[in-house]
Amino acid sequence: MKKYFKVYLTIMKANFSMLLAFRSNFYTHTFSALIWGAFQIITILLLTSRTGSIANWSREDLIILVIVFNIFIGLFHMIFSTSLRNLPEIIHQGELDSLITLPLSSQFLVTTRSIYYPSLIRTIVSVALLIYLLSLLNIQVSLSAWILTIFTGLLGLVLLYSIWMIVMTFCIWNTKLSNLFDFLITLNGFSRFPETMFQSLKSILIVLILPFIFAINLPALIILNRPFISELIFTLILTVFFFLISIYFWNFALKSYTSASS
Amino acid sequence: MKYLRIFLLTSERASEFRGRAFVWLLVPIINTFVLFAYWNWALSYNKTVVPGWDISQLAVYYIFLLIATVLLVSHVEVDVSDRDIKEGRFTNYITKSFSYYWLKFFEELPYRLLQGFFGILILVLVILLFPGFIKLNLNFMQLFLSLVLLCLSFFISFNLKMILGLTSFWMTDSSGLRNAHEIIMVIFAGFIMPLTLMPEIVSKIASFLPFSYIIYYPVIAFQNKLSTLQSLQVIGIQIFWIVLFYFLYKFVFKKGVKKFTGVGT
Repeated sequence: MKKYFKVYLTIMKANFSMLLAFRSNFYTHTFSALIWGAFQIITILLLTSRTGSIANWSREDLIILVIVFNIFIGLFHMIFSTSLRNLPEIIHQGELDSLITLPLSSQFLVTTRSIYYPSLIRTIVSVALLIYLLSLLNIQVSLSAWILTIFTGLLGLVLLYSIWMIVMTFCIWNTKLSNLFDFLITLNGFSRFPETMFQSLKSILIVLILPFIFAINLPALIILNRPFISELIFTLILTVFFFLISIYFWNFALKSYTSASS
Repeated sequence: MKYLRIFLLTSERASEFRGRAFVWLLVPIINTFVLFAYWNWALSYNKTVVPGWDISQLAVYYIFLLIATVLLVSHVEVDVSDRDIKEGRFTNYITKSFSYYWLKFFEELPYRLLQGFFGILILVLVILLFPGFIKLNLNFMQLFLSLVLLCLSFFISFNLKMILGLTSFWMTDSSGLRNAHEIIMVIFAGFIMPLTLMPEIVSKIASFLPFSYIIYYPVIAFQNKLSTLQSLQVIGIQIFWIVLFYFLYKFVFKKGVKKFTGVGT
C-alpha cells in the first residue's frame, strides 16, 4: 500500500510539472471545466423556470444537487477520467506493454497515469458556491453530516470509477470504441436529477441507471436532511460489487491483449 | 466527379466504423431521454405547466431533436483543428486541386448520413412499437419546405464549424472556444426544451443567433408547427447565415493560410 501511495504521489508531481510547463492549456481547460459546471446550473434554472419543482424536489434542492454533482464529478474528472479516456490510445499504441510488465497493478497504473488539475478548480468553486447557497437558504448541516457527505461522495466516485473501468476495458477488444468515454460522460448526467424523477419509467431502465443516480444523489440527500439509509446500503453493495467486477474483468481482458510490437 | 469519389471513399471508411457511429448515436439518446423523463414527471403532476404542448408532442419533439442532432450537427471542426492544422495534414489539402471547403464537406457528409440512418432506424422502431404516436401531418408544400430547411441547417452548422476549426491557425488549444460554442448551442438551439417554453429573454436572444436555425426550426417544421409563411421566413434567415458564415470562412481561411506552417509534412 505504501508503494502505491509513493508511486501516486510521484505521478501527481509529474502531472503538476506538466501543468506548469503548459500554462496556457491549463487556463483554457480550467475555463472549459468552469463553463461546463455553470452550464449544469443553467440547465436546472431553465427547466425549473416552467415547473418550479420536480419529483418533490424544489428548485433550490435541485440546484444544490447539481452543485454537489459539480463537486464530485469535478473530482472524478481530475482523478480518473483523463486516464480512462487515454486507455484506448495506450492499448492501440502498445504502451500497455510497459505497464503490465511493471511490479504494480496494471489497473492502478492505467487508471492513475493522468491527473486533470483544471477540474479541481471546478470542484473548489462548486464547494464555495455550495457553502454560500446553504448559508443563503439557512440550511444547517452538522459536522457528522458533512463527514458522511464526504464519505458517500467518495463512495460514489469509486462506484462511478468501477463502472467506467468495466466499460472502457472493452477497448482491449476494440480500440475503435474510444467514444465509449463520451457515452459514459453522458450517463453521468443522470446523477444531476433526483432518483424519484425516474420512478415512473420501466423497471429495467431504472436498474441500468440507478448506480449513476445514487453515486451523486446520496451526498445531496444527506446535505438536504432527506432519508438516505436505504440508498446508502444500496450504494455500498453496488460499489463493492462493481469494484470487484472491474478488477476481475480487467484481468480477464488482459488475457486477450496482444502487444503492438512495442 | 472528383468530389463524388471522395464522398464514396469516405462512405466506405465511415461504414468501417459502424460500431463507433452507433455509440455516438447513444449519446443524444441518453440526453433526450433524461429531458423527456423530466417533462414526463412534470406533466403527470400538472398538465398545464407547458402551454401548447402535451406529453406526446414533447416526446415527438425530443425524438425529432435526436435525429436532427445526429444528422445536422457537423463535427468537422475537430478534423480541421486537430488533424489538419495541428498535425500538419493541411499541407496535403492546400497543395491539391480541390477546394478545401468542398473536400471537408464531402468528407463530413457520409458520417452525418450514417448517423442519420441510425436515427431514422430509431424513429421506425418507435413508429412500430407505438403506432399512431408519431403523425406527420404535412401537406406536400410543408414537407418540401421542411426538407429545404433541413438541408440549409446542415450548411449553417458546417460553415460555422469550419470557422471554429480554422481558429487553430491562431490558437494552440481551441478546446475552450469549442466547449463554449457547444454550451451556447445547447441552450439556444432548443436542446434543453422547445424555445417557446424558455424564458422570453432566452427565446428572444435565440432568434438573433444561428443555432435555433440549425436544430429547433427544422424540428418544429416537421412537427407542423410552422406555417408556410413562417417556413419561408426561416429559410430566408438561414440563407443569410449561410452566406455570412461562408464569407467569414473565406476571410478566416485566407488569413489563416498565410500564418500556417506545415512542419516536416
